[in-house]
Amino acid sequence: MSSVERKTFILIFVWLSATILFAIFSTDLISDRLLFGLPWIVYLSVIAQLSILALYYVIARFIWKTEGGVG
Amino acid sequence: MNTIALGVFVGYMVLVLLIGYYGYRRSRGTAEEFFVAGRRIGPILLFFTFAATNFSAFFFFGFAGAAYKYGFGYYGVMAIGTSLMAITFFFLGRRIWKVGKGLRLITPPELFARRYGSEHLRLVVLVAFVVFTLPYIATQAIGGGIALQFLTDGEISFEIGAAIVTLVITVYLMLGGMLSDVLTDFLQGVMMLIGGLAAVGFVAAGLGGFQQANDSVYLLKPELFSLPGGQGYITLPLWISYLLLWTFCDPMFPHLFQRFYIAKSEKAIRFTMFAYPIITMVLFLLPVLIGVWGNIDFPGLTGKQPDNILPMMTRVYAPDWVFGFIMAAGFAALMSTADSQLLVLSSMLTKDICSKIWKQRMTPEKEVVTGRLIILALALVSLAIALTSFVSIFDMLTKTTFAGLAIMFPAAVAALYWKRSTAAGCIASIVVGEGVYAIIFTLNLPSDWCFGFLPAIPLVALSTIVLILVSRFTRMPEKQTIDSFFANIENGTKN
Repeated sequence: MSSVERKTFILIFVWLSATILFAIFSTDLISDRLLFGLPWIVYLSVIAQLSILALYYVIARFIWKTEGGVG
Repeated sequence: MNTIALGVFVGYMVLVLLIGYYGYRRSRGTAEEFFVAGRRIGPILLFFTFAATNFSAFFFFGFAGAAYKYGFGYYGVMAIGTSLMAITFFFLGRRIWKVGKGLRLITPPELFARRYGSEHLRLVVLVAFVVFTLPYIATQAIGGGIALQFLTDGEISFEIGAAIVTLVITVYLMLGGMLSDVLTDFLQGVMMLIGGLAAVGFVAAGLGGFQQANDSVYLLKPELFSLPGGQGYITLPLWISYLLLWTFCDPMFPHLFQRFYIAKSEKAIRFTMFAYPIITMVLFLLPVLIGVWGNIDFPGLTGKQPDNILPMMTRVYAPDWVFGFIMAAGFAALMSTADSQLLVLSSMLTKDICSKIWKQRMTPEKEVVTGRLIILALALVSLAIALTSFVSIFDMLTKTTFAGLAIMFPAAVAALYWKRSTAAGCIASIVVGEGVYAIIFTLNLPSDWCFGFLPAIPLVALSTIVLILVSRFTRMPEKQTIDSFFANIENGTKN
C-alpha cells in the first residue's frame, strides 16, 4: 500500500468510526420531524452523504492527484 | 389498455434500439472494442454507466416496497452504504484500470489468472461469477414481464413481456457490445432520474404537498419516521452490515468490475467516485418517499404486493403519458443492469473459455462473433429460467448473490495489494467462504445467529483469515509473474 493509499485508508477509517459513534449516540435525536414533515433520519442521511462527498473531494483534490504526478 | 402509456414505452424501446445501432456503427470489430469499448469511455459516460448498471429494477421497485414496510430509515441504510462504496473506485478501481490497460485485460477472471499465473484460479473465479450473475439476468427478465403486464392491464402476458424485454436487450447488445451498452446506460440513467423526480412531483402534488403527505402518513404509522422503523427492521447491526456489505459486494459484481477496464483515464474514475454520493443522495430518496406515502392510499399490502407501490401510486396521481414515462424509467433501470450482466458473462465465456480451448483458431474477429452468439445463447437461457419452474431455484441463488460476491472481496484486495498472497490462498478463501455460506443457508439458521449482522460480514472475515493462513503456507507465484503484474501499478500509467 502506497503512502497515498495509507492516508486515504486512515481518513476513511476515521470517517466510518465517527459515523458509527454518531449513529449509536444520536438515537434520541432521530424521532423528531423537521422541514416538510420529513424525519431527522432523512436529514442525517443527507448530511452523512455530504460528508462522504467532502471526503472524496479531499481525496480527489489533494491526495489522488499528487501521486507520481498522475491525475 | 392505457394506449398513451404503452406508446411512451414503445418509443423508449425504439430509441434504445437506435442507440444500439449507433453504437454498432461507431465500434470497430475487435474483442477489445466489443467487450470494453476500446478503453475510451470518458468521465460523464463512465459515471452514468456505473450508476445505471448498479441501480437495477430493485432500486426502482424494491426500494419503494421496502420503504412502504420499513419507513424513511431505509433511505439511510441504502444511500449511505452505496455512497461509501464508491471509495473502492480509489482503492480497487484505479489499480484494476492500470493493470487492465497495461496487460490488455478484458474479463475479471483474467486479472486473477495473470496475477498468479493460475488457470485453476481463473476457473474458480469464473464459476463463482457465473453462478451469482446468471440468476440475476433471469430476475430482470421476470421483472420486465411483470411490469409490462401491469402497464397493459394484462393484455400482454408475463411471458410475452419477458420475451420482448429480453429481445430488445439482446439486439442492441449484439449490435454494438460495450459501446451500445454504455450509450444506452446514459439514456437509461437520465430517464431514471427524470422519471423518479416526475413520480415524486405528481404524487406529492396529488397528496396536497410534501408536508401534507408526510403528516398523513405520520398519523397512520409514526414508526416509519423513526428507527428501528416498521417491523423493527432497521437495527444498528443491520445498518452497519449494509454500510460494509455494499463496499465489499458492489465492486465484485463482474459487470461493475469490468467497467474499470473501460475508463479512458484515471480522471474518469475519480470523477465517477466523486459524483456517486451526489446521485445517491437525490435518486435514492425518490422511491423511498413514494413507498412511505403509499401507506395513505394502499394500506395493508402484504407479501410481495408492496413492490408494486411505485407504479400503483403514479397510476393514481400522474397523467397517462407521465405514468408511461415512469414505467419506461423502471424498464430502463432493469435493462441497464441486465445488458451489462449479459455482456460480462459473454466476455468471460468467450475469452476465458472459448479462446483458451480454440487458441490457434480464435482471431479477434471470431472472438466478436463468438461473443455475439454467446449473448444470444445466454439471453435464451435466462429467458427459459424466467419462464420455467427453475425460477424457485434461481430465486434462492439471487438471495445469496450479495453475500456470495462479498466473499470474493478479500481475494480481489489480496491480488491488487498483497504480493505474498498465493493462488491457493485465493482459491481456498473463495471455496471455504462459499462452502460455509452454502451450509449456513441450507441449515436455515435463525436470523440472529450472528448477533443481528448480515451473514456476509462474518463470512468476509472468515474468507480473509483463510486467505492469509493458506497463503502463508503455500508457494508464491514466480517472481517474474508478480513483477510484471505490479509494474503496471507501481510505475503508473500516465493519463
